[in-house]
Amino acid sequence: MRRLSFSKVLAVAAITVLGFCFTAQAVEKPDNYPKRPVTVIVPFGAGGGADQMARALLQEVGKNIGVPIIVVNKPGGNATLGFYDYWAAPEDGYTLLQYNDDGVTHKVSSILKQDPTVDYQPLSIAMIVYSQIYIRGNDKRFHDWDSFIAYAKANPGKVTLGNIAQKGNLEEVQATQLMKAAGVEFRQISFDKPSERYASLVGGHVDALLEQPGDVSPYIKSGDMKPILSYTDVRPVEFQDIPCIKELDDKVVNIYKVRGFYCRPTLDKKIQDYLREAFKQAFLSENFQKYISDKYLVDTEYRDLDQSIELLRGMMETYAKTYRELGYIK
Amino acid sequence: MEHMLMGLQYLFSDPFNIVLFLAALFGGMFFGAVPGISVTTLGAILLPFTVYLTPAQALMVYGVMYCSGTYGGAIMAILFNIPGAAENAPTAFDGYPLTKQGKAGLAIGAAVTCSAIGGLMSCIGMMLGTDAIARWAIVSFGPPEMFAVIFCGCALASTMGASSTLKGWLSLAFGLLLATVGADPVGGIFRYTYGSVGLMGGISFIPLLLGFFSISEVFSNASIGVSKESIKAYSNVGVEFPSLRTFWQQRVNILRSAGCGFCCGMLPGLGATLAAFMSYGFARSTSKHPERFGKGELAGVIASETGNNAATGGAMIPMLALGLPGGSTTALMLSVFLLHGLEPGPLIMTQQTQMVWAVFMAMFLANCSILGLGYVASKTVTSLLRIPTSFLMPFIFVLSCIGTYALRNSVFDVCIMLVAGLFGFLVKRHGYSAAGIVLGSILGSLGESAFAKTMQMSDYDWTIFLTRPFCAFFIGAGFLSLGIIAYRSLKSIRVATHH
Repeated sequence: MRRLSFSKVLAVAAITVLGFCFTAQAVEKPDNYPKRPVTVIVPFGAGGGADQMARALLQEVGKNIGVPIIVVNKPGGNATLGFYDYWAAPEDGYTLLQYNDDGVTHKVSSILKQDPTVDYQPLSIAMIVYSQIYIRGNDKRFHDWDSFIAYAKANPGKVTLGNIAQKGNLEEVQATQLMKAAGVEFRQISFDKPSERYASLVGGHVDALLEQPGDVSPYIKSGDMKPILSYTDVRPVEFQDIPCIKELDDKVVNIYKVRGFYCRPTLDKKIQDYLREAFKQAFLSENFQKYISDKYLVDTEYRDLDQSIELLRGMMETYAKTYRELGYIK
Repeated sequence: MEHMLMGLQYLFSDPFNIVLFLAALFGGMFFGAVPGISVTTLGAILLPFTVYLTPAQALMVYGVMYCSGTYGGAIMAILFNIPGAAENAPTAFDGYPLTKQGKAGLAIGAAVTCSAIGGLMSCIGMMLGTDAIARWAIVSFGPPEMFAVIFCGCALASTMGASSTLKGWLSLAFGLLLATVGADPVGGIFRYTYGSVGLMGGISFIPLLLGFFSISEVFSNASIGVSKESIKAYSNVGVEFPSLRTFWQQRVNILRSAGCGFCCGMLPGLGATLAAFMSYGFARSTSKHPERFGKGELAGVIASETGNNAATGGAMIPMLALGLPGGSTTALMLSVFLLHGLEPGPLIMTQQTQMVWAVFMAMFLANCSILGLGYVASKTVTSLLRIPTSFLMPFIFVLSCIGTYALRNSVFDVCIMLVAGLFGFLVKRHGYSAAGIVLGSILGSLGESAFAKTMQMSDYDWTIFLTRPFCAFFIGAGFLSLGIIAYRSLKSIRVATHH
């Protein structure tokens, strides 16, 4: 059983109370909206992490706006197919988008020309997750961060790191940050399917794995995987006894897996405000808070539009800086 | 045994469980039969509702749907050349020619029985399967072994459906080339996309499957024109059920396919599709009459359907023992676990014994029910063939379009399907193999990603394929079968020129 920190409980309680305050001054419902079901395009496959989160939150949003919400999964094209579909739809508030940090990386690497802080903007950032480095629980060669790094230094170019590593994505940038911070070289191996990635570590085909803790928590509990480093600014409550990357290199600017919902700023202001409020209530709802309670989030704070944009801008800067270092952009 | 009784007791102690069981059985069969939408689609839709069920009920629903869906796909593959999913494609190779010969009943009968046999055998394997077996599988089979198995699968099935060895290999190579379209699995570099957004994600194999199989069939029917004979040929539908003797003659084939399917199912990421293709390839290359395959050989239907259903039980082992899903349906089962606050993974077998065994028994019974239901179905479903071709073909055309569109709501995919259909129609006339192209495109993407990982792992040292025993075995078997195929065809050419 994981410990719940007092501060976390307090934060949730405070958010809940605040939520009630805001309910009192509810945003005015626009005339004639919504008249029919609202479609949300999810550019990721059905059943995956993004899809599960979307369905959990949108169920609550649907209750708040009084019409059903239809989730349309449109995976493919490195999550751009769904985006283009959304971009082609009329901006009437009946087609919304779920997107993650791909929106940021695609903009920085010029795969998409649309800027997630300008051309389309967050309705709600619903989930911010950090990554960790894992080793096998029964590995005889190393058992924690220090022994792992000592081994990597003694065997240069030999240690393999399982990852999703596609050019410029979150995981590749994180692996680059790590190699720089620790001063070692890893051989990265790209596993696109999650199950293959987990099997590769448990089965002994790679030496370490870069993953998000919510996805591998069963293996952490069974002892098959052991976290040795967190990609956070301070040690997470759940993992107080393992170092975070900031301790290795205080210049590291952490980036996270950020999942949120978006609309275009050209949408009728009244509808925007109405939707933002509906998403906020959904985020603060008991059901959704329960859903995210065991997902190992960076924090469970609610972010308004300005705060969300600030978060995304910070990430864009980090990516741009890392891409320049890697020579991906000039 | 005690566990089995416990599972049975749970299933029958609540009438609601029986209702759920039946609903899942029919739902799975229906969604499995309609192309494009699949059990995964149904599973994703149902996922939010499973919170109202107990974990055991929810998992039972998914387990049963999984079994019956894999079987459902066979019906459409045999009757209309529309494989409901990729794992049913090899069933169509021989199933559809059998239908054309008026032996649809025979083919469906064999498919039903073998689905059930394959499923039951793998259920038994699954019940015996333990944590240790699952661990052995993931430790022994890393990316190099995956590549070797895929290579061997390609080699075994390389010439199916083609008029000559060379044309078979060319078809396969073209399929492999199609698989390279889109982002490469390591660097994300775009290949052959020509700036098209649709192509950036690669060509999905479902549009290819439906295009090469169903649409090209529609075109070739249109080119023949509707004559009175063609209507007559279809209305001659047999409801003959294969005799016990037929199955006894096929015992080796069935056992081998079940074993092959079970093992493929156990490897994360490979699953039922490879199982079906490999079983089919094995059956063909060990047959005394390999030339009959693709023209209506019952052994082909038997191998494919035994293989893909046997994969269901195999896939459950790593899912339950280690929380590693082998395919999309088992991945959904994992989501069910998580929705109920259960942690799938190494502890589930010991902590949730009753639930696990209830699911095992439900899958066991589902396979038994397929046998009974299938017998009835083969007598009724075949009457669909009494519909004249001129009505049936437009219906198939529309169904394929809907199926392709439903996959990811993309008109682009429908275009791909139509192009594939036209292309398939043209190349089939010249003896090239649509099946080979589809096989190449499915296994090509799996194989490329396994190959890329192997190269990254070994620091681009090729000898890794020969220094790992399992790997060397499968690579060797692959080359051996390529050699045998080449030798046979050279020999037949020499015989032909001598005469």
